[in-house]
Amino acid sequence: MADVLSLAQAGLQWLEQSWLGHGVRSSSYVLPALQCLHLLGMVVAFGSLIAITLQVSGIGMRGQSAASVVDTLAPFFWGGLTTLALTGLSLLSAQPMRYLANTAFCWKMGFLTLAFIWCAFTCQRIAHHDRPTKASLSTTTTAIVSLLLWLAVAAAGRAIAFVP
Amino acid sequence: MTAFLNSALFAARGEERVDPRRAADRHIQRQERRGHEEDRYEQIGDCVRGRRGKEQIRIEARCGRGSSQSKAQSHKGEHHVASEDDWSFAVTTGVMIRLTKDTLLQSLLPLFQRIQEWPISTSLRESAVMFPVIESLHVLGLTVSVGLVVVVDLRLIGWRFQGLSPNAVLRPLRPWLLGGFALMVITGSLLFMAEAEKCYLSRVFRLKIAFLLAAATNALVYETTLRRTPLAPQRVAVAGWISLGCWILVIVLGRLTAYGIG
Repeated sequence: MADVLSLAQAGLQWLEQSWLGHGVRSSSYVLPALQCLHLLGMVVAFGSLIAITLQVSGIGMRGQSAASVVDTLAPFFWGGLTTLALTGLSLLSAQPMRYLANTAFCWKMGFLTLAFIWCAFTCQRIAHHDRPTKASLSTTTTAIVSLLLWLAVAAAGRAIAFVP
Repeated sequence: MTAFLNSALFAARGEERVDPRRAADRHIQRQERRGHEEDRYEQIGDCVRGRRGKEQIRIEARCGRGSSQSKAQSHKGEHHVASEDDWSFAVTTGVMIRLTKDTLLQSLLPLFQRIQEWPISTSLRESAVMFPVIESLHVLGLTVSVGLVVVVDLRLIGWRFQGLSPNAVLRPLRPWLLGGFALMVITGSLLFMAEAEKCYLSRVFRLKIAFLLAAATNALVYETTLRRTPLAPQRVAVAGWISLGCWILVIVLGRLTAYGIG
């Protein structure tokens, strides 16, 4: 555990001194702009995720299979997530040590890891679930759990600002 | 009226090349001769553009403190340094508009100061737990409602779900969308009450509310008229673009309000 932490610390120190860190700190307008983009990416990602979850749970659009809705919206989910990752990394590079010391940030990274692991194991099942009318209980549960995990990531992210 | 304007001009402009008192007097005399109806003017930022009488002259004047600049443009498009009359007209109207705007802004200020002093507002503002919790719920409501609005807009614009009618996309999402919207409005009102004065005086916040109202009006117009006429894909697409644009601006301006920009 200590090794992991010191490795993370070294990586973050490198990030702080990289061109990205210097660029983000160069102007006082960069951080607000990045946070706006972070929020917009989050809105797009969650919108698609909620619509997918509703469809998989059988209370979505009539006459559409879950698989087709997933096919349509997954690019937006991943697009939003990519925006989140890029802007998040840039925000982090401004003051990485301060973030590492923040409890809420550590919780956020924990939930993020869990959400990714959960998605990696269950996404295929959700994507290939192809029953337009009746949803299976396990698929519904899988989708709701992943939505809750992402909500936990967002809530912990919002808490970063309030935790000393 | 003249006395009021004189003092206002002095108060608002300080030292000027042209004696503003004389300029204002002359302008008012001229207005009285001619009647007010023929003068048209509007303010754009610090700039006043006016059409004086039947002369078709466009006047631009910056009415900030310090150096005064004015420029008149005839209908032929010629630029020249404005005469004293043009200048006085522009400055007088500019100061009047600015005063009216400031007076309006100031006249409502006590209301918002009183809202901010309500017991619930004070306790919210000073609570170390409730404020963050309500702010998080605000972001949650926003994420759910605007996120689903984006999904619906994808269909309205005609980018995705082309095989479905807009209503088929909207129907299952509507209860969640409206639920998120209600959560956002309730928590947003609470946050506003806690910092009513700061929000009211923030230009960015007022702009945010304007775009929020525009988005809401757009949605209402869609629900009441366009939803029942499926044969207007262009108009439906316009509704989608307006919605998408307004909501992006609301989110960006809302995020910037927290920085105190503007």
